[in-house]
Formats: sequence, C-alpha cells, structure tokens
Amino acid sequence: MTKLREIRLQVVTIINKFEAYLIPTGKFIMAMIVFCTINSKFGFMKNIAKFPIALILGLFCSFMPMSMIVIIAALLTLAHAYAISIEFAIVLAVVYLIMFLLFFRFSPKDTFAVILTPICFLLKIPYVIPMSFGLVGSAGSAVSVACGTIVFYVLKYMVGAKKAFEESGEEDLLTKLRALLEGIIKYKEMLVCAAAFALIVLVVYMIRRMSINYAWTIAMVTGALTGILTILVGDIMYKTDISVVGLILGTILACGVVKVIQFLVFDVDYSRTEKVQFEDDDYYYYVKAVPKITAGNIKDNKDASDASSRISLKKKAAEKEAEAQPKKPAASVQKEKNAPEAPKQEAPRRRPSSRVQEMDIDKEFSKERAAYEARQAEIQRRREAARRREERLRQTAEEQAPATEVVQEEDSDLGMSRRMAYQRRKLEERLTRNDKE
Amino acid sequence: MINDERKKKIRLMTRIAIYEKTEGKKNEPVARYFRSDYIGLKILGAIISATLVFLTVIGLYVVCNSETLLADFYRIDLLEEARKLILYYIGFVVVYVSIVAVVFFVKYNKAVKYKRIFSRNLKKLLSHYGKKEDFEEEDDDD
Repeated sequence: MTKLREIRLQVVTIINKFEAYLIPTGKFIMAMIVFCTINSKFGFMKNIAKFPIALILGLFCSFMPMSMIVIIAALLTLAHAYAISIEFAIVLAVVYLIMFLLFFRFSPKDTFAVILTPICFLLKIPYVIPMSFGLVGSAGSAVSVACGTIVFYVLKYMVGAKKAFEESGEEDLLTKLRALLEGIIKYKEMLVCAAAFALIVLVVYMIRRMSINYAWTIAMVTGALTGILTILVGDIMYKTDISVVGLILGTILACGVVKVIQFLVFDVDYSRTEKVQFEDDDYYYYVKAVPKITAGNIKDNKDASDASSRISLKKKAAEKEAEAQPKKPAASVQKEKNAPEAPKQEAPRRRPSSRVQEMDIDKEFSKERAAYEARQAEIQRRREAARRREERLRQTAEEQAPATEVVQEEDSDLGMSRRMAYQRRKLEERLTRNDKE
Repeated sequence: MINDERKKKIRLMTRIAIYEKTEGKKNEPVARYFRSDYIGLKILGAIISATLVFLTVIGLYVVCNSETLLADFYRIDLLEEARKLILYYIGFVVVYVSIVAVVFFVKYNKAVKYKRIFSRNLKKLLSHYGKKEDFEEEDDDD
C-alpha cells in the first residue's frame, strides 16, 4: 500500500505540474473515445463516420469546455439517426429536447455523466457510473445518470428497430414513428435501469455524506445492494430481459472500480479520528477530523498493513545510530589529547539520540530567535529612518518651491505598508459592495 | 518569523481566495439576486420549458394519431378534449415548477449562507488591518 500511495503522490505531482497540457489531452482522448464509439456502433451516415472527422472533432473539443463533447455527440447521433430515416431523427430530437429543457437545468455541470453512462454500458460495466457519481458527485447527478441510461437504451432500441423495419419492409412514415415512440415509451428495461441508477446515486450520495466511520465503504455496499434489489424487483414486475448473473458480476466489478476511486479520492485513516469541540461568538462546533493517509504522513500510520516491517526497520536504524554514537566522542577525545596542555575534561557523556536532537533543536531555536530579534530591530530602525527621511522631505518641500527631482522609494517597508493600505481600501470597497447587494 | 496576528490574517486571506476561486464562482451569480427574484426567474424558465415540452409531446401525439383523429374529427367532443388537455397541462406544469422551486430554493439558501460566511471573513480581515496603526497613518497620508 505504501508503494501505491507513493506512486499516487508522484502521479498527482506530475498532473499538477503538467496540468496545462494534460487537461486538453484528457479531453481529446475522451472525445475520441466517444466519437469513435458512436461511429462504430451507430455510424449509419457513412460520410461522417470516418476517423479523420472524429479526429478533427476531437481536436476541436480538446480546447472547448466539457459540455462541447456532449453537444457534438448529440449532433452526431442525430445525423446518424437521420441517415436511417427522418422518423428516427425526429424521435431522437424529441428525447434530447425533453432532456435539455426539463432536466439539465438541475445539474448543468454533470452533463459528463450523460456521455459516460452509455460508454460504460458498452464496456459492460454500467454499474460503475451510478456508484462513482454518488460518491464524487451530488444529488443532481441522479438526473444526469438517468438521462445517460435513457440515451443508451434509446440508441440501442433504434438499432434494433432499424433491423426490424428492414425485415418487415415497412415504409409508411407515420406507422414507423408510432411504432418507435410506443416501443421507447414501453421499453421496460430502460425504465427499470434508469430508475435503479437514479436510486443508487441518491442512496450512495446520502450515505457517504453521513458522519459515520467508513461512510464511503458502507455507501458503496448499500448502493450495490440497492441496485441489485431494485433491478431484480423490476425484472420480476415488468419481465425485463436483464441477466441476473451479469447484474451480480457487474456489481462486484463496479465495487472494485469504486474501491480504486475511493483510494484515489478519499483515502483516510479512521483509527486516528479526532473529535473536538469548541465555540466562537456565533456557534458551537462539534468537529470530527479524520486524517488523510498520504505518502507524507505514512510514517505515523501504524495501522497500515506494512506497519510492523516499518517499525522493525526503524528499530534497526535506531540501534545503528546508538552504535555509531560512542565513536564520535572517542574521536573528539583523541583530538583533545593531541592539543598541547589541553585541560582534562570529563569524558563526554553519552546521551540518547533523542536528547541530543532536543538539544540541537533548542540551539537552533535560540539561534533563530536571536536572528528574528535582530531582524525586528533592523526593521524598526529602517522604519524610523524612513519616517525621518519623509519628514525631512516634507519640510524641504514646504520650504522650497515644488522640487522636480524624483524621489525614489528606497525603503521596501514603506512600499509594503502602502500596498497594504491599498489592499485594505480595496477590501473595504468590496465589503460595502457586498453589503449593498 | 510570522506572528500569530499575521498567521490569522494569512489564513483568512487564503480562505477568502479559495472561496472566490471555487464556490464563489458558482454562488456569486446566485446570491446577487433577491430570493424572490431568483426563484421567480427560475420558475418562469421552468414554465416556458414545460410548455415547450408539453407542446412537443402533444404535437407528436397528434402526428402519430393523425389518421384516427381525422376520421373521428366530427365525433370528438372538442370542448371536453380541450378541457382535459388544459388540465393535463396545468398538472404537468405545477408538478415540474414545484420541483424546480424546491431545488432552486435550496440552492439559493446555500449560496447565501456561503456568501454570509465570506462576508464575515472579509470583515474579520478588515478588523485585522484596522488594528495596525501604521496602516491607519498611511491611509491618512494617501
């Protein structure tokens, strides 16, 4: 685990360092996956289902906001649906319109879920989406995840309907439109999955926000059970064709993926939880602080799996240090002997290493303290000098005609305090603006 | 090197800066409105959206069933159908608008709460500046 945490820290450092390049690259990869999937599974318009076009669109999306991928993906699917026939395009447009008008106002930032859900359905890991969005998203994510599920099933239904229409040789526009709409409205599998996914997001979200130990793990397990139960009940009630084995295996796989997400996002050590209480003028605070496990504070974490090995390593190191300690005084005694008529000092006392360190810290502290005091005195002196200089300048300015020489601001303290006064004015302005609003 | 006073100030400044960078961006446009204005605006948008969706669905229904509708045109009690349609419309709009109102009411309250904390932090920061006599003097000079 320690190794993994170190790797995570390194990855985070690298990501922070190259953020400017990695975000567009990530968007580009995401867009390419989305567009290529659409082209391969739903690519009925041959003119636009080509790799170069997907590449150009992907490059375009890499410098645009995330929602651009959603818009372009929606337009692409509409174009492909239009290539099948106009009624497919009409139905898809109506579905998109309803989603856009009714649902996206609740969580406009979560549009990402709408494209991620169909992709995970194609990868056979759909249950990852509601659980991970429940953990890292908000309650509004339930709407987006449900919308994504509906989009996937509508597209899936359309692919099936296209084949059915081709086999039956149906040509009438109105009949096809009616058949499509009725099919989608009565598509039980879609309705059950959308409802179950929305429920999973809500359950996971509510539990992981609770102030209980292992909230994330409990949320994950509860979400998985909720999903299995809801889909099973839906399956029995509406006789959908959802495979039970696939459901259970998919849920277990989803738990694994979510555990990885938890390691990346929410890695805490509940054994060292601190509960504190304090108050200020307005509130009483009951604070529960759970320390994060990072590669930095890993040494203090005694509960990690490799703690015993680390402790033994530490002991060995301490022993080595203890062995090394007496040698140093011996060397110093030799030096003393070499010095002419050196007064015989008492043999240097053995001190435990921690004590030596303490002494060092004391010395360091006193040194720093002295340096600090010296610096403070210097600052005081400079401030006095600056004040005197300014007074002198003012006096000369009053005595003489307006001087043309430019006085350079040498003293940095003066500049600093001016800047702070400026900042203060700015803050006051902002506050009054806030109060007015 | 840094005394407690300054530490407090820096903590406040950091908190304010972080708020402005993250939550502030989201909350600032919300908290700028009065509550009634904000929710009213959202409800207006919701009514328009709901109307558009309702019209689309009705349009689609009419297109799909145009044959039967045309055949039975003279047998249908138009007034009764219209009354039913209006009832459906009102029911749909009321349900949707109440959901929107609740969601944005919660959102507004949250934004205002955050903004209040933000203002309190700003005030605290100002009081820190106020304690420094040097700055007072500088201020007078300027």
